[in-house]
Amino acid sequence: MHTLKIENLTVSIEDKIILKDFNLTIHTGEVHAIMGPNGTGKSTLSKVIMGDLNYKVIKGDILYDEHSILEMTVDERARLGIFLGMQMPLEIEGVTNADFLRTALHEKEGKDFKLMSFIKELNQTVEQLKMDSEMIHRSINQGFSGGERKKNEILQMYLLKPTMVLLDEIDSGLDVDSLKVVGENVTAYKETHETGILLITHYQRLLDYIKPDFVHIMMHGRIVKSGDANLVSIIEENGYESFEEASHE
Amino acid sequence: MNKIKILDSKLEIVDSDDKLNIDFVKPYSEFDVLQVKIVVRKSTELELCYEEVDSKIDVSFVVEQEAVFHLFEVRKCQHLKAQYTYNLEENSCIEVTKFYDVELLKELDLIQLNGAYASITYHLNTIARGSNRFDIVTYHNAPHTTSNLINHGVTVEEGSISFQVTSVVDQGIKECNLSQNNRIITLNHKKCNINPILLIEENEVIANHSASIGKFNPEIVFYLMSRGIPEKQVLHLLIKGFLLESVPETDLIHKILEQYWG
Ligand SMILES: Nc1ncnc2c1ncn2[C@@H]1O[C@H](COP(=O)(O)OP(=O)(O)O)[C@@H](O)[C@H]1O
Ligand SMILES: [Mg+2]
Repeated sequence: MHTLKIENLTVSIEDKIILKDFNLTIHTGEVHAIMGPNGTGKSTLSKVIMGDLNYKVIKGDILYDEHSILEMTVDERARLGIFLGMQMPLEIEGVTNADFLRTALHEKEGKDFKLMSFIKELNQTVEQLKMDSEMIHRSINQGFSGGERKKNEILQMYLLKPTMVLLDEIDSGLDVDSLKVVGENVTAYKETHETGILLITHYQRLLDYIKPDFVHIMMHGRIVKSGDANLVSIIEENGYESFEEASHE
Repeated sequence: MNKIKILDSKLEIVDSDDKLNIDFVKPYSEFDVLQVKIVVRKSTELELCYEEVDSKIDVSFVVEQEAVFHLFEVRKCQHLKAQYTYNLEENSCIEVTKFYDVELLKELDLIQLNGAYASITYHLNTIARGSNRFDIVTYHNAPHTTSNLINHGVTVEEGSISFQVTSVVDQGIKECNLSQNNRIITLNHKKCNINPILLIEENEVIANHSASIGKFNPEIVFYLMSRGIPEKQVLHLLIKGFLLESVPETDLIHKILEQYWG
């Protein structure tokens, strides 16, 4: 079992405090969902865990299996097993998906990397995600629709086999069919790999496909309420306002 | 494929077919210029390769009517002053792809689109360790002519790049299509410069240009690193993508890239 632990984390960007005394512990095998209004710091949280240096950690710690990862670079954290599916995956001109993934796997597996099994697995996963097989040889996300970009994140997750998966609004920009494919594949991944999942989302829809064990409501840079999947229906009915009070405590 | 190799100011014709004529005048002294004249009579390809050159060179091409010509050029050398002239006749077409690793380089390219419907696509990719200065001038001398220039440069060590790119269309030369795309990635702190000059006196023309100088987008670097690729390899991937967009990775080009980013 692996554990990702965020302890009293306070984070700022450009002298503005975004996360305040944030606490969360995720074990492999668990699915956590974080829900909260725009601008609350959800993306910030995911990027800080991944090691984005634009954000300054003022206080607190992030631990993977009891070891602080704050001093680790972004790529070191990734090779440790942390994966961030981004809210807005960028287009990268000139670098093909195949070259990129091959390089990433080479870094991860070193001498154990086998080109033939990589190609086989890549093709299989592309098919499983109902993606266009041509995309492998195109530049990363270039000319991809919102849905294709999100599927590409899931494709990368499958190949890199992380143990802690952070998915930042993986459901935004997806049509109904793609949402189903993405949701079912995340669940399938979780069932076949020892994984902890942190889902950042706005919508209940995604949670129909990926069942959360824990739901956290985040406002103004901290978790104001935690519970089980039943919390989702309260938000659907009453919005976030009913939690406003708790956020000022 | 036709191939010319220039090594230590000596020109060697490695391979040639009867679709082009190659003439050259050897320099008499080290102050002299190596002159090469190439006439392309029918559609064909040419590879031009410079190694260990430390001199001045003057190359001119005439692409005759209806011919389609591909020029592929790789340079790996210290100092070079080059002047190139491309003369294109009616309905001819030239696609130029260049990959340079020259420490000190001064180059003047004169592109003369003399015949109607003549067109040039020009891809320049350069790695600058020292000063690399380019002055590229395209004259649309006939109607319906097309020029598409894509200049990419990367600066390393003490390198700096200057792209001065001029496109000229005089009044009465109708229906021309010209585009310039100039990009420099700076991997050091030296100053670079892009100067696009559009001298267009005719209204019936389509013109586009774009220019940028700077580092790779840090968000892109973050994205690639978040997949477990160390920063050095990320840069290598991005540089390769940037410089090899239009160029095949030949053995020599592979060797050059490995030398900087291997
Ligand atoms: N790169 C940045 N520069 C300046 N402010 C930022 C940056 N990233 C996020 N912020 C600010 O931090 C706050 C939280 O943003 P974000 O984490 O994206 O929220 P969420 O994902 O919950 O919508 C917002 O007020 C946003 O304006
Ligand atoms: Mg967000």
